Amino acid sequence: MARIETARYAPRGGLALAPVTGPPPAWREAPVPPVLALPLEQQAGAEAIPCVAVGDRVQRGQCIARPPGAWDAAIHASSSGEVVAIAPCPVALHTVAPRPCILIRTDGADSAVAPLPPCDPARESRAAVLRRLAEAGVVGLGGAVFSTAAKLARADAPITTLIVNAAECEPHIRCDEALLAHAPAHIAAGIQALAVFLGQPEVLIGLKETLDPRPLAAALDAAGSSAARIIRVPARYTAGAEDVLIRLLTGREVPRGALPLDIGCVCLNVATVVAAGRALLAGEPLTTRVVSVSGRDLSGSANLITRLGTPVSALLAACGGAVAPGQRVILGGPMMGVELANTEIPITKASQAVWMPGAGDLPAPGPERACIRCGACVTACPVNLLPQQLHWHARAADPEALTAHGLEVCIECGCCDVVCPSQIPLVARFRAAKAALAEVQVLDLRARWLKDRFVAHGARLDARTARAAEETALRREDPRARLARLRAHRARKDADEGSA
Amino acid sequence: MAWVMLAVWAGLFAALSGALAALARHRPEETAALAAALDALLPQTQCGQCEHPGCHPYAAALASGSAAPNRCVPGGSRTRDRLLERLGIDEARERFPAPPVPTPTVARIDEMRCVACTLCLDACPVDAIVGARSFAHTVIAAECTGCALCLPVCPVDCIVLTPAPPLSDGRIPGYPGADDLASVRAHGPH
Ligand code: SF4
Ligand code: SF4
Ligand code: SF4
Ligand code: SF4
Ligand code: SF4
Repeated sequence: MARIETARYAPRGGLALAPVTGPPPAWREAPVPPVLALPLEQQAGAEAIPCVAVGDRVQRGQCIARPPGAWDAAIHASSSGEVVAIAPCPVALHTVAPRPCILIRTDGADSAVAPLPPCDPARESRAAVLRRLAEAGVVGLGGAVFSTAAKLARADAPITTLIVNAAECEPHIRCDEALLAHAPAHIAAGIQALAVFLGQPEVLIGLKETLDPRPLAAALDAAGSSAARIIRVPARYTAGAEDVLIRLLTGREVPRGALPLDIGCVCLNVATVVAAGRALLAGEPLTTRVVSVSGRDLSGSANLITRLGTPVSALLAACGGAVAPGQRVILGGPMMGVELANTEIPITKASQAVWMPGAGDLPAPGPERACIRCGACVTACPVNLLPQQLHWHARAADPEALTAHGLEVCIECGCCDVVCPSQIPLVARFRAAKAALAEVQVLDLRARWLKDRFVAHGARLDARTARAAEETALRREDPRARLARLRAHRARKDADEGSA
Repeated sequence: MAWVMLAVWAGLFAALSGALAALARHRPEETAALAAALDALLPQTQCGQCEHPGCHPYAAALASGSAAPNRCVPGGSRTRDRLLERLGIDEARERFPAPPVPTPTVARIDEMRCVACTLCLDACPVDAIVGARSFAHTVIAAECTGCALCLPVCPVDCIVLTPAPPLSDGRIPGYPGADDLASVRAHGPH
């Protein structure tokens, strides 16, 4: 029997947010919408290149775009139909902005391409497994959308611990909960496949303490992964952040500037584990994800198995909701979600939830006052930063001080914002400061690169001048001297051949 | 009033020449090392807007004390601040107002008018133009700095500056380290 334990390490910082009450959400498939919009950038940091053209007919599971990197995740048609456009459409990725999308008019047949042959990690090579994960479009479905193949390919040292993230800590996001209740066998199969691939590391499953561990435990036993340990973690906000969860489960700290891999851990969300398992064992590309839909004016909250590219409005309609004027719609949860002005935004691999807040939820912050140095933000910060100091340096736009205080470590969780009695919009400041710092890094990188190009340009011109001088010298050579030189050359060559 | 202004200007001049003279006391190898260090702080567009024939010559002039630290136009206040810090000139920002940074541009060649004379190829300090004799030339936008040095050499004036695309995502194709930067940013904290 898979062991069920309680986390031994205490959480640092974070918030105890009011849990969402009420019956468990319904579990069903969302209808296939008439038009799907699949953004080319569905994976952090890489835009895919379309491999279909306008007018092409596509089937579910057919690869329609492929990013440039070897381990980057491909994008697939999520239903059958015709490619009607490849054009910029509004997409929510950190912010809402127009980004290139492939638009497919669905034909209702929902016919699929044949699945790929299974790729058993026990028999296939490491490269074949990674290639399959990339080809099947598997990325981190916990919101970070980093290519899973790229994440696993970075491991130089052996991975000793596989951490499965089911801590789902933001209220109103309940898609992982739904997978645990309705697809424990798929989770267990994915864990089993990944454990084989990683050489049977220790498997720790960080499960939110309010969720029932028994279905998963039974599924793990049935799949032969009974060595896996289910560790119940507090239902506290930011318990699900990668570095925080690793610390809760293992007591190990990811050093600043390092990755979990550097301390032998790889952390994958449950939904990612399911997608990886399906890709390897069933040859199924990632064309759907579970999205939690909840909030006011809906006939009931639901976890919908949603085709990627479905507009948010279609999900709201599927839950019996229409957006009344003035009603806010949040993609994501109350802490880290983005507010949508337009519900025609498509669901991407990063979209976990759609939430319509009620009147009392998400009150607008009051007027900002001066920092009183109360230190509440320090206590709340789950990653040990000093938000009040960061705020100070962000106002002074001092890149060195911001770096010294670990701005890049900030996970933008918003805990400091919530507790600040002076209502300082700390996270917004940190986001802006990060963007400014990134700009400086880009400019510095570009300066180094331009210098290299300038040096190469100089070398090219010098080499050409030298060549021209040589040619001129040869042209101006005295004919008798040239004859003598050629004769000497000939004699040397003959002598060489004679001795050979 | 006039004598007050005179005194202010005299004071400024004394302070400036003091700072520059302090720098000029370096020995030659120190000056060369300082020039290299200052060069590493410059944007490397080699545009000549500092009135020196490139970034390194400007850095060398700074190191020998014959140039002011607020001459780099693309670098703006950021580069000025870095230079001041490296030169150890404190509290001098007001004395050296930074030039306003112009909107970034890239060059564009009207290929229908290009006569393929190849003159612009050598004029571009960062080899951002591709072309060959009797083939239309074109600018690689991702590699062009908008320095405008190619404009005056074109005999048919077919090169113009256009607004630059954003330089935001940190991917500088083919440059070692560029992918690291992009993936660090992309991987982020999650
Ligand atoms: S937003 Fe950043 S600084 Fe604020 S609590 Fe979260 S991690 Fe800490
Ligand atoms: S919580 Fe707000 S007021 Fe208190 S120290 Fe932090 S920033 Fe200042
Ligand atoms: S103005 Fe700046 S970028 Fe241009 S050459 Fe001078 S130092 Fe280099
Ligand atoms: S193409 Fe013209 S504007 Fe662009 S970097 Fe080269 S010389 Fe400067
Ligand atoms: S200088 Fe002008 S005409 Fe000559 S190759 Fe360049 S763009 Fe064409």
